[in-house]
Amino acid sequence: MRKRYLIEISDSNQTTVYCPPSLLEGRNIKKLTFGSQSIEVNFIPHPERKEKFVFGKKVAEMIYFPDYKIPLHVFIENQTLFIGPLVGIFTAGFTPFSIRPIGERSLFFSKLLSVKQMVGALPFMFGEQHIDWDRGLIKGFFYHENGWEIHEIPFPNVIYDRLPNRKTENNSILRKVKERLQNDYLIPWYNPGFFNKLDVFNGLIQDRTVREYLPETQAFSSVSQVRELLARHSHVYLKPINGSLGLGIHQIIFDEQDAAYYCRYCDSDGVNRLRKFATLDGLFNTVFGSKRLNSILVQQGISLIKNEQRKIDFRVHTNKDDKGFWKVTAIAAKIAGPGSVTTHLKNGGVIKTPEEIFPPAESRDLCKSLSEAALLLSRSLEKNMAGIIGEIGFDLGVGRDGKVWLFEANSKPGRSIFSHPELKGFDLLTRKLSIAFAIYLTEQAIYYPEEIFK
Amino acid sequence: MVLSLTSVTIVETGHTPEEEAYVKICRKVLRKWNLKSNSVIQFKIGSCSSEVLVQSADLIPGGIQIPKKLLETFTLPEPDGRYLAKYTAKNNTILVGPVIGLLTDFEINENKEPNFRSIHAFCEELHHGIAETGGFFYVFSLQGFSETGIQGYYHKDGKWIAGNFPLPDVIYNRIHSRKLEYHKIFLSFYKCINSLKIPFFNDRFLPKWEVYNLLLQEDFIHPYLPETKIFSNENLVNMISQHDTVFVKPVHGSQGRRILKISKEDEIFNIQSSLTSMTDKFIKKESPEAVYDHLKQIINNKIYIVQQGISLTSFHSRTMDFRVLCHKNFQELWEVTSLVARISGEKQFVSNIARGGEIMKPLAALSHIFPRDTAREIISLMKELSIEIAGILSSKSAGLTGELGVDIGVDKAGNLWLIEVNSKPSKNFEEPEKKIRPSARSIIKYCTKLAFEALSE
Repeated sequence: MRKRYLIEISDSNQTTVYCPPSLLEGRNIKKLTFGSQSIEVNFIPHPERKEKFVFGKKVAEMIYFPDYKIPLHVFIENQTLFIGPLVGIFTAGFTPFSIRPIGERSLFFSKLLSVKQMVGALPFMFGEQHIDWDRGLIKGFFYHENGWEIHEIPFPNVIYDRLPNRKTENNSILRKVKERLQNDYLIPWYNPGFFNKLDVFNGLIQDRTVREYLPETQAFSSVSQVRELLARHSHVYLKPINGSLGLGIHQIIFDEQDAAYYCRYCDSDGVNRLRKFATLDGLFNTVFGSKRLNSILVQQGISLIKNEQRKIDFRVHTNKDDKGFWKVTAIAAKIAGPGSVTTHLKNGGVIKTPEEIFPPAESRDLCKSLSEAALLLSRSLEKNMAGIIGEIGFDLGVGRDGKVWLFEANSKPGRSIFSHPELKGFDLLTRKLSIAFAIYLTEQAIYYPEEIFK
Repeated sequence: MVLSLTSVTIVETGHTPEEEAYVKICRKVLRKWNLKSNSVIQFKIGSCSSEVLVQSADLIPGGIQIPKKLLETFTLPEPDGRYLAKYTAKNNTILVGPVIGLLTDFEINENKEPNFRSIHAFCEELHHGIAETGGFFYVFSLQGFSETGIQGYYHKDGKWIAGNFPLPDVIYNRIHSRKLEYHKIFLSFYKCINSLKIPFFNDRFLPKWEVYNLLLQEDFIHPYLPETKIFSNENLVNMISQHDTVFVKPVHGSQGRRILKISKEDEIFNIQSSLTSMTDKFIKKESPEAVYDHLKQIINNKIYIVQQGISLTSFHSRTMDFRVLCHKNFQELWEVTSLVARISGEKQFVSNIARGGEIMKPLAALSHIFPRDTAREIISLMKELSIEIAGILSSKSAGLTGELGVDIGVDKAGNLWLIEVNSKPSKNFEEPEKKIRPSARSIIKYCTKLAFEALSE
């Protein structure tokens, strides 16, 4: 367990830092660093030998330290003492309204930032427009007892990417900012981007330990490819490679009895449709018409376990903790809405805990195999995908034979499962770990920079 | 709906011996349930169940014909009408319902129609809503409850009529009196329905102090909570030295009754009471200790809280706050069903309608004070915050919660402040545009969900 220290700001104008005596034993510390800001100060043991820091407001001003009176972490390397970590949460979509600075995501961010006391870090939110490159400072949004506050602070120790969608991720200005902060300022950046669904499968299929979880998945090429897949699997799914929220997902079923093809999807009016066709070409012509099908993947359908005739899949959330180990942080069952192609809430899906649906023993076994799969998949994805990954939301299915299948891995998992009353506790756990991971990364970047920037 | 329910209409038959032998079900419905003609099935309405022989027939869509003799065993006074139904293969049972009971306290007078007080019109609204979507609705009091059946009232031809009913599938608690919920008659009722596994929602009034403490556990809510302490000499003196205005409220109070306001002006403390009947409405005291001594007499050893007063925005110098009505939907997610601005009566400092206030559209009210785009942000945050608060309270407190009224104030800087959360929210604030308002529809959906979930077990 790393130790955390309280930092007290006094009225003094001197550049002396009273330091927990134990930290100074056998060390010669000359510099105090907060984020990217570093100053030379005089470290002396706390006069009453207390295990805390006390420094004057002058020092606080020089390192741009916001006084939130929470115990923080300390790292010492090369005669430099780092306090923090200062964690920047990078996003876009700011509004001019101080009560709701990031629109409908404001409460989500306020929850994320509210773990600072529990975790022992100083997280803040910022956008590209809040960076002052010349002075090396950022106008960061902090959240505290009185709500949103803006403080000018140094560049952070690590950056947690919470860009809201693929569009902002592909924005050229934001991409340049990201590159500059990573490459020129050497700031570790975690959860770098939305996964491309096909890359996920192509990466994982190389890994023997997880191959068994992967349904057959290919980039869509032709109707005959789908026909061929349908010959082997009773049904298949067509999904946009870069889609999210279940948009544009189609299920195609071949019914041998009446030799007909069925297509289940949610139409542009949000109505769940199930349509029957005599031929697969007819189906494609009618359902997709002239739509280009170039970023679509085709995936083997799995006969899933059901609850009252409605299929169930699972959202399993994994996070890296403050030691850099993968942890399963939430398991939710999602029951599809009647006649819906997906289990998404907006298609009438319902979220339950596994315990609410299954008898205790069955639920325990399910959670065990889901957790095992999610941890193996997390480690494998971490190796196979670019960037530092700190959390993943898996969509897993369980076949009627009990086998676990991976449908999708989300690098920026949605939070909708946490609105379920029984899952609120896991909401806090995932929030805590997503910031706690920043402590681990900061530590790595200070002690073993070559590991992170290799 | 999530439970894949089917709308059915129950019709009485049984004039010939042939008719008496079967429950006839519309062909389409029987097919939907994958049932064959002449199968033997459990048929359940409310708490009554019977084994029947079903037969497919050409009836009106959703029609179910039930022989008179069988129908009588279901003990509902007007069993024919619209219902929702579901077949569960697991128990080989057709479930018909929901039978919804509303529990409240009212006086029973043999010769007169009952008066359900502040929720009388709302009960009628619920009746009409349930008649429309399907189900049976009655109102009862603790006196009418027994383990084997209930005496209560149902609505027919514009009147509330006394009747004997089977136990309901779900109970909606609208008891008016906090005291009654601590009475032993309530406690034994509560024990009984728990053992019968009848879902019972909004099982009690939420004490203000408990609400505050549950919300305090969530750091991100802190900016919206006015500082609140238990009334004591020390807490009162501390609070009035820190804040210009403080309120002193009973922990178990509702509808703005018995609230005291202490405001500081040039080191003189004004004490004001929401009790209009109090002759000494304005009292001046010169020290915090004198304020305490005065309040102590009024409070009379009851549990009160002291709360930081917020300079709320006012509407033509009348106090304004907002009532956000939240309901849990069939996906167990909280939704906002209604949001109104409440403007206090002249010279009142609590804006409860019960004390002579009026309601307004929130955007119109806020646009008087803030630019329109800021007003919109305030309203959005108000809704988002209310959903969070409802979610926290319902998951942290025991028992089922299906609706909550969240009262929020806005200060001059546009910051939001939580005033109160009410588990028995008044039904008089929602805009009366429609005959059956969204909040009534939400309650009906929630009742239906709970009923069929419990029935399917």
